[in-house]
Amino acid sequence: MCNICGCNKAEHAVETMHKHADHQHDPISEHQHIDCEQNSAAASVARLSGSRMLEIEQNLLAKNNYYAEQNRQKLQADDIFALNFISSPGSGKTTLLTEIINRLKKQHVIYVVEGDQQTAIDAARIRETGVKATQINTGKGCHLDAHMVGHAIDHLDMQKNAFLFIENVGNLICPAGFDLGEAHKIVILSVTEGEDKPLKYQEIFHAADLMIINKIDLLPYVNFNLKQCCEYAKQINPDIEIIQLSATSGENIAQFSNWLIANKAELQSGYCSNNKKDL
Amino acid sequence: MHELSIAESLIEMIEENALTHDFKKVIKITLEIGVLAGIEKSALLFCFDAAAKNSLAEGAELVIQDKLAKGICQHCHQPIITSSWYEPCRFCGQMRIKIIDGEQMIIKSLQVEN
Ligand SMILES: Nc1nc2c(ncn2[C@@H]2O[C@H](COP(=O)(O)OP(=O)(O)OP(=O)(O)O)[C@@H](O)[C@H]2O)c(=O)[nH]1
Ligand SMILES: [Mg+2]
Ligand SMILES: [Zn+2]
Ligand SMILES: [Zn+2]
Repeated sequence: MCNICGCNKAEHAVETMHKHADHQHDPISEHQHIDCEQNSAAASVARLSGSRMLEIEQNLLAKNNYYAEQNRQKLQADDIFALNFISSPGSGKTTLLTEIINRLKKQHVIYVVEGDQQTAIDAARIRETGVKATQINTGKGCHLDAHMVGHAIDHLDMQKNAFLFIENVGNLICPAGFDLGEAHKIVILSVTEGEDKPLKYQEIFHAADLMIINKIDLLPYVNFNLKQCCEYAKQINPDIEIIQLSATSGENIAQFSNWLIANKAELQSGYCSNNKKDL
Repeated sequence: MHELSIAESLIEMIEENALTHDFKKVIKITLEIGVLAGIEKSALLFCFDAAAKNSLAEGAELVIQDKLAKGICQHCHQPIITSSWYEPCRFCGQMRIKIIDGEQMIIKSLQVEN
């Protein structure tokens, strides 16, 4: 049985995600609504015609946000530092992950959730490094959501104090608004995509804490204005950090692994002091 | 096309409301969507028709109210109305505007029938 929603599908989160046509879970309080049937003039007009007006004021992302918060609490309790990697298809997410895993795996425990519409190719690529990975196939879905990731987290059965890398479906648009419970969103842009992307796809650059500019080994061959790209990203998000690297040549990858280790430590020391405050 | 999953959660939430508020059919749905919510209105309208098929919202009118974004300039502290993440402050020309409203996606109301 799944701990997230209590559904009885034994096979779910294992390479394919189940659809929820067969069961319902409603974690959202049903009491947020303000039922104005009695007072509003519109309602009385409506009632004449046999209909009534319900003022409900419900957030369309409430369900996803609820699951994301569950994930976040669970991850925090287990000292797991989770990152949500977002980019367009082919920017080098899986390549960068395998490189970084090979550098960190001796000293750190790492888990990976791979999101793709189809195939388990990326999870297999990750498993070749020796770390545990689970594949989510979203089918027609264009982004991971917090409920799918919650199931995948259960499936991974993680030990405490670890990294969790979540590779989102290759898509620079849709994943931006769906919180998965991660500590940070990381957006990857490769130099073959053009420096204007932060302006064209603002949401994700605004939501991310770190922008990685990948494939800098190709800079001599493409027209990519690195400085301009960084300026655009800073216009959308003045606090965004930027690392330029090449996942294939290895240039500057150390800067990214240092970022990962430092931010994990920072988050965990934050939990510790919070816990102390609670005591 | 995350508008499709937004449309699907809209239908799911309407079905849950049908249980708590005891209705059988939805005539009209009013949403409030912030200009920074990342939703393409026409795509959402299109996906809604598909998602609503065979549900109690089939044929319902979907009204989407746009909500402009509000922010506070972190430099001159003036309140600003904007429609993008990177417009400069109209008063001092600086780029640092903290957005306080305009990312929401809310079901405001449902007109329903028993
Ligand atoms: N030259 C160069 N090629 C790279 C670099 N990083 C990745 N690639 C190549 O880019 C292609 C796509 O890389 P992937 O790692 O599969 O990209 P991805 O973002 O995981 O792709 P999806 O999961 O399909 O969205 C592969 O051919 C990689 O070898 C890099 O730094 N430099
Ligand atoms: Mg990949
Ligand atoms: Zn489930
Ligand atoms: Zn100003």
